[in-house]
Amino acid sequence: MSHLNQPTALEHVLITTKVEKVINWARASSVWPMTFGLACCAIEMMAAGASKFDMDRFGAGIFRATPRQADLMIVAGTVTYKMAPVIKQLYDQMPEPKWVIAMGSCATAGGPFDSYHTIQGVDKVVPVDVYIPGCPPRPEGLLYGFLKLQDKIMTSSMADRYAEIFEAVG
Amino acid sequence: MAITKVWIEDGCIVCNACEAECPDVFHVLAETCVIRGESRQDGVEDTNHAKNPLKVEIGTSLEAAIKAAAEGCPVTVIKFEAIASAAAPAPAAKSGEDVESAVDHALGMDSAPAVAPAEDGSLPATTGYVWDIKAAPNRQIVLPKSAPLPSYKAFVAEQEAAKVADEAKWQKQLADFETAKAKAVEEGKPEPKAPVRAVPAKNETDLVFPAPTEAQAPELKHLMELLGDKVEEAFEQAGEMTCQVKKEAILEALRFCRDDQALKFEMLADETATHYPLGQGYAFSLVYHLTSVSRSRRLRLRILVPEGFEPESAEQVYPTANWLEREIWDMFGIRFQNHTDMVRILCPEDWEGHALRKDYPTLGLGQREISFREDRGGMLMKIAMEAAGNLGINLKVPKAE
Repeated sequence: MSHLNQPTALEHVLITTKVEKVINWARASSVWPMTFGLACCAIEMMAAGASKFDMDRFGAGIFRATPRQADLMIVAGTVTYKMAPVIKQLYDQMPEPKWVIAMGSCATAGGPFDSYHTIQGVDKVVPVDVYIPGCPPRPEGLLYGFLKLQDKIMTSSMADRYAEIFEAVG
Repeated sequence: MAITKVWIEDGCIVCNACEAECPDVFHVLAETCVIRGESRQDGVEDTNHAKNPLKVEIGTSLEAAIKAAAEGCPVTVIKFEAIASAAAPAPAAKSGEDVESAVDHALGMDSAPAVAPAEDGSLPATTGYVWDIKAAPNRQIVLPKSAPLPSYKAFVAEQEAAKVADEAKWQKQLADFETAKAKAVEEGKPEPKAPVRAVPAKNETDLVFPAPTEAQAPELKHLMELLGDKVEEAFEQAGEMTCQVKKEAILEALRFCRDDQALKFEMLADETATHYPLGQGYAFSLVYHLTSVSRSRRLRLRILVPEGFEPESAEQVYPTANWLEREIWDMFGIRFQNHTDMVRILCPEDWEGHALRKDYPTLGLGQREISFREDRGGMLMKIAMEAAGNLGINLKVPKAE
């Protein structure tokens, strides 16, 4: 019976897998972020995109200048009340599937600005997938958070997303 | 300190020592000693080893007796856990080598809720968020309600008052000396020492508050001549010229400063305000910082305005005042007459309150729930109506009959 465990000639050429896994793999390997920064965290984000850290190694180096071509929104900086509707609008303009990274203390929980003008975390405006602590986080921190997002994408299921969108509506 | 849990390990020799020491908690049976159910929160009597918590009042009032019983036990099988008050450091080892409970204690896992309930009986909110600024008084920064307004008149009045007080004190000292002297002569005792007038101590450091002085600079005097009785006060302090004018005459003063050949202040460098909630007859000091680029001099014009007063906009003289006055409206709530675009500049248009007033809370408002207005300020509606009007379409919803 041992010959049954050996790959057949066909299996040397073909790989059998699930469609969902292939799609997830494609999505996780080409996450295009949107070009926008709100505060000093954006400087670290630029450094992460530049040659020394090079987010392009993970397929996320193509910062798009329009939300309509972007998959990932990196909220890098302080979110004020005046900016919050703009962020919401940009998020709404992004096509599905889309993900959000809250980068730094401010986007995560308001940071040091417990004040009248700062929203205490961007998750009050848009749903967040990965939170990265730090003030600001190093580019390595952003890359680690991005790898976590890739893990999340790889384990996600289209059925879950369908339920999230359509069954909530009813 | 209060004891939270007591239990008895294997090896009790039934010596009755613990029951003699603390009969409310310990009870000795035929084979072993147990913790009385009445003293425990769960009320079970026959489980010695389960670390069920004691009733709070027992653990607090009988703490010393339980400790004495534990120490007096000849085979040391009585173990207990205690919590310290928040300020005290955690005890390293409580009874015996109970490392596990020490670790639990260090992690704060064994402690009863340390926060006392509020007066109305409700527990305080356990979330880290502060929704109500009044619920977190310790997080508020207490600012002085009002700082003194820099002023030469006030400075002179203060000096005079200090001089008068000093003189009165000296006269009192002299009078006291005279009475003491007369008393000593009467009783035949030696005369008391004559008082010495105290000389104010010299401030040896450089950190001396620069005192305001009278107007001496020629341009300031020139401006005072031009304005006449519209000047309320003019002084110099630390080399800076300040001229306070009547609040109705600010536009005239600004015109003189810009157009007069001896003044020639071409630039309005800044215009801002300060809130004085305790000010007598005024609530805000509105300052205009003027710069003469050609003569490299600076001048500060000032008006004092009460709450609700609408000063004339400086935009007609210095167009740059447009945004500066919008900022003043946004932050202080002072509106300006004849301003071309009197809307907020920093905060959103539907903001409530003015953030740089002294009574505006410094913390916590960021915790509010957010609601987005789709059409903030009615801009989209305005554009739609205008476009529809151009096409001759009536978009307005007819009123219900």
